[in-house]
Amino acid sequence: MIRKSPINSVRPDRRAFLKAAGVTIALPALESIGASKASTGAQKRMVCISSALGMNPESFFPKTFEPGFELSPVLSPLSGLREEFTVFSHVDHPNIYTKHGAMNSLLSGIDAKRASPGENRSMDQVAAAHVGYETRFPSVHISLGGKQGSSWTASGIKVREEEDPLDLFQKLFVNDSEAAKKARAVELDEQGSVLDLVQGQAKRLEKNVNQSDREKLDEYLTAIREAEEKIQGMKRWEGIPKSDVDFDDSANAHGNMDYPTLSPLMFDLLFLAIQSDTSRVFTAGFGMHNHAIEIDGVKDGYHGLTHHGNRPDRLTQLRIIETFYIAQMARFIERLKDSKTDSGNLLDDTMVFFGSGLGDAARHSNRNLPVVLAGGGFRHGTHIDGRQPNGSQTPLNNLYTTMLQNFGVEINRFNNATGTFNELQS
Amino acid sequence: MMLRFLLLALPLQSLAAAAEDGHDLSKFFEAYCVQCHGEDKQKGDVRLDIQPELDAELWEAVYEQLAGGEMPPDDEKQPEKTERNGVMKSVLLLAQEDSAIESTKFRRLNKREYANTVRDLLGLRSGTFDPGEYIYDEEIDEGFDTRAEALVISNELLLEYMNAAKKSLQHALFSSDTEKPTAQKIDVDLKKVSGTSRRYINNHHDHVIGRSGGKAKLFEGAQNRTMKFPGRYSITVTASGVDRDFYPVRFTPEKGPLVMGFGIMPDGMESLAGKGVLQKTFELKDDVEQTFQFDTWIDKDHLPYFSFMNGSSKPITQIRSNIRRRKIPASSMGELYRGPGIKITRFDIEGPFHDEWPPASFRATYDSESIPDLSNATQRKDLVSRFAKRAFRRPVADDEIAPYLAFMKEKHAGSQDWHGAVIDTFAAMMASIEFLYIQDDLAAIRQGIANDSTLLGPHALANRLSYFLWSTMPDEELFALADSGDILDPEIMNGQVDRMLDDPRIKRFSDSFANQWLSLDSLGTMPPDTKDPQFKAYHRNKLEPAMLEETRRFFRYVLEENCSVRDFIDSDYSFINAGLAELYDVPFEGGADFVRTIFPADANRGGLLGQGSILTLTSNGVETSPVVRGHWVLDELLGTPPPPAPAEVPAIVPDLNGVETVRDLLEKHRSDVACMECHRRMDPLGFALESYDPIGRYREKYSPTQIVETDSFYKGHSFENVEGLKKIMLADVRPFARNLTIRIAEYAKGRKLGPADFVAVEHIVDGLAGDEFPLRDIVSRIANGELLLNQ
Repeated sequence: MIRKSPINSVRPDRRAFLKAAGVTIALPALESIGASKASTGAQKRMVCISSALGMNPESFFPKTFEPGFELSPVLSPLSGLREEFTVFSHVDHPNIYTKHGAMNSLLSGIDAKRASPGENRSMDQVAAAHVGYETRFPSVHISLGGKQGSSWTASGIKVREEEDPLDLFQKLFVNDSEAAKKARAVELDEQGSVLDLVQGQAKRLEKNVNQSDREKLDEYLTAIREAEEKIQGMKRWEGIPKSDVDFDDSANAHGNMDYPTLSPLMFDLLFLAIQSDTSRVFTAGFGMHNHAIEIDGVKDGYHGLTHHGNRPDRLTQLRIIETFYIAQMARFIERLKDSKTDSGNLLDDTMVFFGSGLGDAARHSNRNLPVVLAGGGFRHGTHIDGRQPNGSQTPLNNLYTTMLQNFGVEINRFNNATGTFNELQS
Repeated sequence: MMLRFLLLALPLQSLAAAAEDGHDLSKFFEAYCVQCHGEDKQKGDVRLDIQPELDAELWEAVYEQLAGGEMPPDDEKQPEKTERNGVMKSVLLLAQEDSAIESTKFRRLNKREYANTVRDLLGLRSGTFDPGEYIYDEEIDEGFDTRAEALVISNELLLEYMNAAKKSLQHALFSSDTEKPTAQKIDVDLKKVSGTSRRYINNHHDHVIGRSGGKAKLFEGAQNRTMKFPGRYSITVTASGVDRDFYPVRFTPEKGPLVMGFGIMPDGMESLAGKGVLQKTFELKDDVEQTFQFDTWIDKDHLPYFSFMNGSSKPITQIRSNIRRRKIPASSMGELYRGPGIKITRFDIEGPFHDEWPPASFRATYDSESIPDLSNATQRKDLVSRFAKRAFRRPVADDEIAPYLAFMKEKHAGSQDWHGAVIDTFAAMMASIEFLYIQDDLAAIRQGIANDSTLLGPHALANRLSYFLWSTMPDEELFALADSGDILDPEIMNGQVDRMLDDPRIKRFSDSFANQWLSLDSLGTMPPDTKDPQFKAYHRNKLEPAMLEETRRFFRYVLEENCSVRDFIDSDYSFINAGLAELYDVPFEGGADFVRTIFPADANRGGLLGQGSILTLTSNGVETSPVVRGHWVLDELLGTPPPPAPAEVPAIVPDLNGVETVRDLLEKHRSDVACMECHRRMDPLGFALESYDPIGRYREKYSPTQIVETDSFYKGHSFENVEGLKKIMLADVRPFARNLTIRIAEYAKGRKLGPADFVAVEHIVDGLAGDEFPLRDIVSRIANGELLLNQ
C-alpha cells in the first residue's frame, strides 16, 4: 500500500466554514438582563456527562427492547425514574475507529486529530454559542476525575475544565470584592483597546500574502474578533451580582480520586447553576486515569480494570465504578425533578445526556456506544434499537441534532447526522 | 503566489549524474515492481509500467517507499544498494520538477518558545517566574510542536498571551522609581506562621513545628507576606528535627536525618497547595538547632516557604496503621499529632538587594544601561523603537511604531503615569502578530515588495536558527550579525552554528526534540497501578522521571560528543542511576545521580530499544503488546509507519483467564492476507521486544509455564531475540539516519518536507555516510545548508 504524502495541503477556509455553520456569539439585549433571574421554564438546558473509558457492554445494555424492559445491573440506580429516561443501543459515530479519537470525538463525531481547527466543534459549543452571554457563562465544563476532552471550541481548542469544587463555586457564585471588580473592569477595557490596536496592525498585512499566509492571518484576526466579543459579553455582566445560593463551601474532596465526595459536590454546583440560570450548557466528564478510585470495593487502577480480560474480580470492580456513575446521574436527575417551576419541573427543561466514545473499552471498539438521555421534555421510558435495515448503526449525531433542535438551535443536521430521533418527541 | 524552489547547484548535479549513470527507470520497474504494480495487478492502486502518466505526487511516494526500504516487500527480490539509491534519486528529481510547496510565513511561537522568548526579551532569567504558566498547553497531534499548521490561535489563547505579557512586564519593570528599593528586614512572627495542612502545624510564640510532608508548606501568615519587589534576599533560618521518637514506633522517615526544603512560591488562593519551586534542602539534626543563612532570588508577588521533604504526606495514616497493628494505643487517634517534625525557631527575610542598578530586567526591557527619562518625548520614541525591534525580531520602520506611540500617549492621558503607559504599550506589542509569530521577511510584505525569492533574509535566518537550536529569540551577537547582513556569509554562519551547539542552551533543542521524536511525553499517561505488586519498583524508585532523564541524557550525549546515530539502535552504554540499575539488573556503584555506565556484554540493554522509557510508554501499565511496540519502532524510530488498521478490525481482548500468550493470539490472526500486509512488518519487531515487561524489565517467561518467544524475521533475515534484531538493523544504518535527518529538518523548518527538501537530505546523508552519520554533524549541516536557508 502506498502512503501518499500530500504536497499541497488545502484546508477549508475556516471563516467560510464558521459562517456556514451559523456560529456567532449571541450578545444579550440589555432589557433581558434583570437583577434577579428566576429560571424562566421556557429556556432549555443541556448537561452532557461522559465516561472516558466506556461502560462494559455486558452489564450496561438491557437485554430486551419491549416496553417495561428489565434494567441492566449498571442502570439499576435509575429504577425509580423509569419514565424519565431513554436507553439507546446500536448508535455510534460512523467515522470513528480509534481509542484516542473516542474521547475527543464523543460530542462531535469527528476525530480531533484529523480535523482542521474548528471543524470538530462539539455540539455543546453549538448550544453555548446559541445562548452566548444571555447567561453569565456561555458554558461550564467540569472534570470529575482524570482526563477527558470531549468539548472542542469553534476556534479549534479543547475546553479547559474545572477540577476543584471550591474553585468552581468561587467562579460561579462568589462576588469579587469591590476592588477586584474595579480592577477587572479596567482590565477588560484595556484588553479591548489592545485588541483594537493589534487588529489594525495585522490587517495591513492582508494585501501581500499568499494563500497559506492568509489562513494564518485569518486565524489571528478571528481570534481577535472572538476575544472582543467575549469581552463585550463579560462586560455586560460586570455590574450584575452573582446569584446567591445555598452551598456548604466547607466540605471538599481530599483528592480527585475521592469520587464519592467529589461527584455529588460537583453535580450540586451544576444543579445550582441551572436553577440560578448562571449557565445553560454543561459538560461533566468521568475521566481516564489508572488510579484506584476511592469507592468501597474498588482497589485496582481504573484503566487496568477496563482491560478486564474477563477476570471476575476485575469485572466486579468495574461494575461498582460504572454503577456509581449512573447513580450520580440518577441523583442529579432527581434533584432536577424535585425542583418545581411554573410549567413543571427543572428536569423537563434540562436534557441530561450520558455517553462514551468507547463502545467496548476492553478492545477499544467504537461501535454500539452506551447512551442514556433523560429530561428535556422528551417522551421517555423506552430502550431504542438503533439498528438500521442495512445492518449499520444509527449515527449518534442524530440524537445530538434532536437535542440541539430541542435547545432552540435552528439546525437540520449536526455534522454527519442522517436524521433525528422522532420517537423522542411527545 | 506559487513558490518554486531554487536548487543550489551541487545536489542537482550529483543527482543528475546518478540518473545519467544509466539508472534506467523503466528497466528497474520491470525487474522489481510491475508484477504487482502493472497491467495485471495494481496493488495499492499504483501502476508503474506506464511512465508518462505518473505525476509528482506518485514519484514522491515511490521515492519514499524505496528510501525507507518498504518496497520491494522483503519477501520479494531486492535491488542492490547502489541500484536502489540511484533510482531513488532519479525518481526524486522527477518528483521535484513538478512540485511546489506553499509554506506559510507565519509560525506561532509554541508555549515553551514563548516562555523563553519573554524571559530573554525582558531579562527575567534570575527567578522562578514562568511566563508560560499563564498559557494553556498545546495539543499537537501530528508532527512537532514547531509545525506551523498545527499551531493555531484561538481567542482563549490570545487573551492568555495578553495576560501573560502584562504580568511579565510587571515583573520586569517592577518599579517606577529610578532609585533602588531599600532593603527591609522581616522577622517572621512564628506564632503566625501558616501553611497548607494546618492540622499538622503547631505554633508557639517562639517556635513553629511542621509535621507534614508531601506538598505541605510553611510560610509567613501575615497579609502582606509576598515580596513587593523582586531581588536577591537573604534568608536566615534556625531549625532542628524533633519528636523522632515520640511514639513507641518510629514514623516516617524511619532512618536518617529529617530533611528541610526551602522554596519560592507565588501567592494567591489557588496556588497555596500547588505551586512552589524547590531551591535548597538542608539536613537537620535531631534536637540540635542549626542556623542556615543563604541568599535566594525572590520574584515579585512571590514568597519563601519551608517544607518537610521526607515527612509523610498523610501523617494520620501512620497513626491508623499502627493502631491497627496494636503498636500504639487507640487513644492516639484523638490526641494532638506528635510525630516527627521540623522545628523552626528563627525565620528572617532581608532584602531586596540589588547588586546592580538598574537591574537586569530593566536594562533588558529598556535596552539601555540607564533608565530612560519617560517624560521626554524623544527618549520615549527611542525606547519604543528599541523595544519594537527586539520584540518583532527585525528592523522596524517609524511608521510601524507610530500607532504604538499614539496608544501610549492615550494611556498616559488617562492615568498621568508614563511608567504604566510603557507597560501597557509593550504589552500590546507582545500581543501583536509580529511578536507571537515567527515571520519570514515580513518587512518585505509590509512594504509591498513582492518577494519571489525563496531564500530567507538575514533576520528571518537568524530567527529560524535561534528557534531551531535554542528555542528563543536571537541573542545580541546573532542579532548584530543579522543587522549587518554578515549572517549570510557561510563561514560566519557556520561559526554561529558551532557557538550555539556548544552552548548549554542546546539542551532545549535536545530535550524537546527527543521528547517529541520518541513520544516521551506519553510516558506516564498509562502508568502501572500504584497498588500492583508486580510493578511496585516503578513508583517506589521513582522510575518514571528516571527513565525520562536517562533517554534525554543519552540523546544529548550522542549530540554533544558527535557520536554515530548507530548508538540509538545499539550501544554498550547508557545513563542510569541506582533505581534504573536495579530495573535493568546491572551492577552499579552510585546512588540517585546519573552516571554514564557501560553495560556488561550479556545485559540485554543498549540503544533506545533497551531503555525503560521506550519500553514503558509502548505498554499500557498492565500488559505488553507486540503490535504497539512494533508500530512504535516502525513509526518513530524508522519513520515508516504502516497505514492505520482497516475500518472494522476488532482489537484483541486477551483472555487472561486462559493460557494463551499474546503471541499465540496474534499468530491466530496471521492467516488473513489483508491483515498480514501490515502485521508482518510490525509484529516481528514487537515479538523481539517481548523480552521486556510493561516497565522494561527483562523476562524470559510470562509465567512458570509460558516462555517468551522472541524469534522472528526482519528484512528477510531471521533473528533469535532483540540482540539479533539490532544486528540486522545495524547492517544498514542509512534508512535510520535518513529518517532522523528528516525529522530534525521538520522540527527546524516547522513543516513536513517536500521533494526539494529531500534532495538536500539525501545530500547530507550521503556526505556523512563515511563517518557513520554522526549526530552533531547532521544537525550542523541542516543548520548550515539550504534546508534552513530556503523557506
